Amino acid sequence: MCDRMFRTGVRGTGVAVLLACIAGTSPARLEAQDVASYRARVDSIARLWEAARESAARADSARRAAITVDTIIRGALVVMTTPQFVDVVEPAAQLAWEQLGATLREDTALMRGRAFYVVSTESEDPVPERIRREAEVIAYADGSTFEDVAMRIGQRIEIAAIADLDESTSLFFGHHVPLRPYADREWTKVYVELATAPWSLVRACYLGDLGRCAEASDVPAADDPVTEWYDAADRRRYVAADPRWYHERDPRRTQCIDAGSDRACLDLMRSLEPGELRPPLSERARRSLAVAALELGGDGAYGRMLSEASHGPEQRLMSAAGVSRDSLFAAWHARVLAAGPESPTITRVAGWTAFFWVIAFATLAARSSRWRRA
Amino acid sequence: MFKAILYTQWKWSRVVVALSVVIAFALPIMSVQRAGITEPSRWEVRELLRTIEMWSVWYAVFAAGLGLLIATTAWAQDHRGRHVYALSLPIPRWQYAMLRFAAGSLLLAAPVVALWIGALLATAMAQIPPGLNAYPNALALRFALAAFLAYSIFFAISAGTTRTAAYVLAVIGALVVTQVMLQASGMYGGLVEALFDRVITWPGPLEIFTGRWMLIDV
Repeated sequence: MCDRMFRTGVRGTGVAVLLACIAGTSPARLEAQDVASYRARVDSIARLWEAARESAARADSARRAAITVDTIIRGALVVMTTPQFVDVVEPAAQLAWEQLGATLREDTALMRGRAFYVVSTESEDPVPERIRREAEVIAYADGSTFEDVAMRIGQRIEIAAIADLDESTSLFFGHHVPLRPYADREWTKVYVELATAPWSLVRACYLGDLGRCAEASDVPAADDPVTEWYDAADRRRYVAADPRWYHERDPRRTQCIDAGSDRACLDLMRSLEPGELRPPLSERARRSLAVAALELGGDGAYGRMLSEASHGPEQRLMSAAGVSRDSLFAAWHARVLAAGPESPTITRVAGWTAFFWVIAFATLAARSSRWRRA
Repeated sequence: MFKAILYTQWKWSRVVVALSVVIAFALPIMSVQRAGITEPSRWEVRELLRTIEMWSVWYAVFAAGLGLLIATTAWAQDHRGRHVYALSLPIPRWQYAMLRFAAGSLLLAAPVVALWIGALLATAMAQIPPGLNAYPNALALRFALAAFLAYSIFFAISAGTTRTAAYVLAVIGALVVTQVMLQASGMYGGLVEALFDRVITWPGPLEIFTGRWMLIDV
């Protein structure tokens, strides 16, 4: 029997089988090794397992039912949590709602009711069944501040809000609507992108060509993105940077990059599925357009963005901003340039101030009374 | 007399100066190791800036540390010899202190120049992506000002008595204790932060340390 077991490849349980073999060699045991008795033993173990599982499920269900849940309501935002996390979750819900209010103003009323169940990852309580059905669960890392938790809630609201928009706008925004004010560092990242992107459209945009900014962000939607977004040099760069063709070892990649065949580059880029080709401006930069539009549009901007009359990113952005495309891009461009990081060069004032302090401290050293009071 | 003081100060601090020259020269070169890609993508440019930014912290730390070491070395032997040598000289104390200060400044110039050469070499060797610029002169100037400022601050403290140093420490300690007490009593607890802000923002003395120490930037 042992030989057969080893031959059939029961290797994962090597030690157990070995022990069973040793035990099974005793003549007294040999009589109890028939199939029927094994089946009976397996069945009894299966019954025991099923009973234990049911019992555990009942206990779990009872625990879930016994869990006390606190509900925090801020406008259309409903946040639930267990009492032990209220200290963090309540100010977080307040902050998340205030951040939404700063962007949406009176339009917060347009937000569909969102319910979240927010607990720490350290929580050992199971999520109550009722809550699981009604709310989205957000688990935050232990030690998070209420600002971190507010950010998590805000992110989930932004992702959920994309359902109110059409598919092309959702794609344009990168599947979440920027409903909270952009922090300065976010604008700085957009500035860095504009200043350093290798694409000719983005470089022209950085230098102030607003028409190019619109093209780079796909407003209005391009008829032939491959040629409208990228010139020949950009296309070669795009193919070189995209890992998919590198891994596929497509010969057109070599023709495009090494032989400089634009036809090969075009072939490759046109072989992409719709939506796979990325516009020159990143999702972050395109989302910042929505932030600028909502800022510019003031009261009612978000309502206009959601309006049934608007469709597609261009119309929705224009409606929200309440100004022409050129004006929106001009405001956005000015906002981005203003967020440029401080220059590493030293201003004349800063230089002379530092020099003044050097002299001041040196004078202090010269006037020390070390020898008089040593 | 300046020559004699410079010579003795060089003898005391030559190890520090030699080591700092090596570090100052190597720091900018090490910071641009990622700047070698011919046509970097958006992510690679961001990564390069992030790396340069990470290294930039070390320039400020190095400037402060260098100032501290050169300043304390300048006075260490005088303190140890209970100022007998200085008292034996036929010059007033302020003049002696200024000679020491000038000698230390001259020694400090060596790592500053090394950093400048290192920065120029690093930016000449690096492949800088379009849209980014190199700032070797600005970085060297910022480093020079920060190092001299740190040196003069620590020189002033070292030139004083132990009692003076104790007073300085006592004032800092008192500020921290006051801050803790104010916070514990639920009153305004931002005393230290407010003072710190005044020190690191213009026209505070440490403003030069808070700028962007970027060798390559947008």
